[in-house]
Amino acid sequence: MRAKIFYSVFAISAFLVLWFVISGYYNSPLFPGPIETVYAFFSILATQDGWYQIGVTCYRVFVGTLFGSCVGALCGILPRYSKMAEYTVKSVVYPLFESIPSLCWVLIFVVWFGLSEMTPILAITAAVIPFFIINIWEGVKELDESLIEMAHTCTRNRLRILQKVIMPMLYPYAFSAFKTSFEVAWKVVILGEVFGAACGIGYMLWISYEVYAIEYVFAWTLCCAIIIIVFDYGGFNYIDRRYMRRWKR
Amino acid sequence: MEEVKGKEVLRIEGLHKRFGALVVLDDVSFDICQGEFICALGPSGCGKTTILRIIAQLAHLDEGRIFIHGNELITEGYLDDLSVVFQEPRLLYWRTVEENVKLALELKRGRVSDRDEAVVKKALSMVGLSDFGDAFPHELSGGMKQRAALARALVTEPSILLMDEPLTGLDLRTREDLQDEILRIWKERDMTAIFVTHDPQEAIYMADRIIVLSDRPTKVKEVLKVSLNRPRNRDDQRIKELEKYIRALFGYKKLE
Repeated sequence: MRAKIFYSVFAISAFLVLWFVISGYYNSPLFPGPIETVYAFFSILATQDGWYQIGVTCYRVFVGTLFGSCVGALCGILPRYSKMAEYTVKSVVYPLFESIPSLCWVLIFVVWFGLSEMTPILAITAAVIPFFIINIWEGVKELDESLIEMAHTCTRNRLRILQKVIMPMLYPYAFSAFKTSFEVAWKVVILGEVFGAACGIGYMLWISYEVYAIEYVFAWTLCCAIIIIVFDYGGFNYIDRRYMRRWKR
Repeated sequence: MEEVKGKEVLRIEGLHKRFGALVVLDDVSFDICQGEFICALGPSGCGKTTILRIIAQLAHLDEGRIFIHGNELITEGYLDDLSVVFQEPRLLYWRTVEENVKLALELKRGRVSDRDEAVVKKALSMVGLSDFGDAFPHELSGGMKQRAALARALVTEPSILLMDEPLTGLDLRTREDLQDEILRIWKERDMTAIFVTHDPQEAIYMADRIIVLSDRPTKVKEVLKVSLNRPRNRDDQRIKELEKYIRALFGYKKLE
């Protein structure tokens, strides 16, 4: 454990030193060093507006992923109940969402909704839908039918069986979809905000780039990276250790 | 006609079941009375489980009729009356033993009340798993898992208990212990039990009557009344004689 911490600290320090040396060598405002970046980063955190921009982006990621998860999960589970749904999802819905690049979705939504809240949120939704479809679908194929049959001896209420037996069997697949989708959502939200929003981290990145405040481009990028790391290690890994253990047989 | 123990609970009339061209059940008829312990005995793969699955409405019948308490089995209400114990415990692996037992109530009623918590505890204590309520299925032995499955079946207080070779695959000691446990619970609860097995000795030890089924297509070969007093002794010579008689019915063909 101690060795692990040592190697991590060493790798981070080496990266910072390298960054410091290269930026010092070029000595250009187009390549700010770690000190300028960290200074810009804290100056963002020192203002209420900085927190507002971060909050707005987090909100969009959350809502977009939630919408995407609902639509994707539904498309993943419906084939179990209907052949028609299976063919529709297999031959239309999944290929459509899987093959269209996120940038295309962003441009389409900018045309439809302009610079609005809907553009980045729907771009995220469209981007995460295939992850939920494929994961839930995989889960549905792996369902333990003997447990469902057992439930049928207690009730004929299919909704209750779905809620108590089928859905819990799909939790690990949904969790895995959430984890992947969250990372994708962060990449897409920045794209969506650069092209189709008037606030948020992506928008601030774009503004910083426009005025050549490259240390702020770096600082906003650092914000994204820190949020993703915090959610991934602090959030998903915690949930995995604390709650998902039950599903590991 | 055999002497009956009480009021008729379940009547099966002319059961036919085909899987494609394969005739599995061919005119199977029998009835079961209140408080009776019935064993359906037949060679492996003969269709014993299919009969149980049809009663539990997990499989459709092609022809025939089933009556529970005199009512034809067409409505959902009957499910409150019966519980099934399968050959495999079928426990939800993400739920603890207690949560698994509670599941039957949640599925039947939608939600569980405070009173039900006590019922769950009682069912667990009945099968000797009071100290294992917080354990997960993977932490239990085969016999304990089957006990948990039995508790789940008992928690809804069914009047009919269907058991599909629940002791298959367990070691002899656990198997005999569980046979006694099942008989004790059956007596305490005054339930009607249908127990499917391919082991003649198990059937003779447990049953009031044995429905001896022929190999496919399954027909009722003979209905044997077991007039031995309870508790029975496995070493009783009469059990061995009856076993010999049943084996002779199958031409000493291996039943397992």
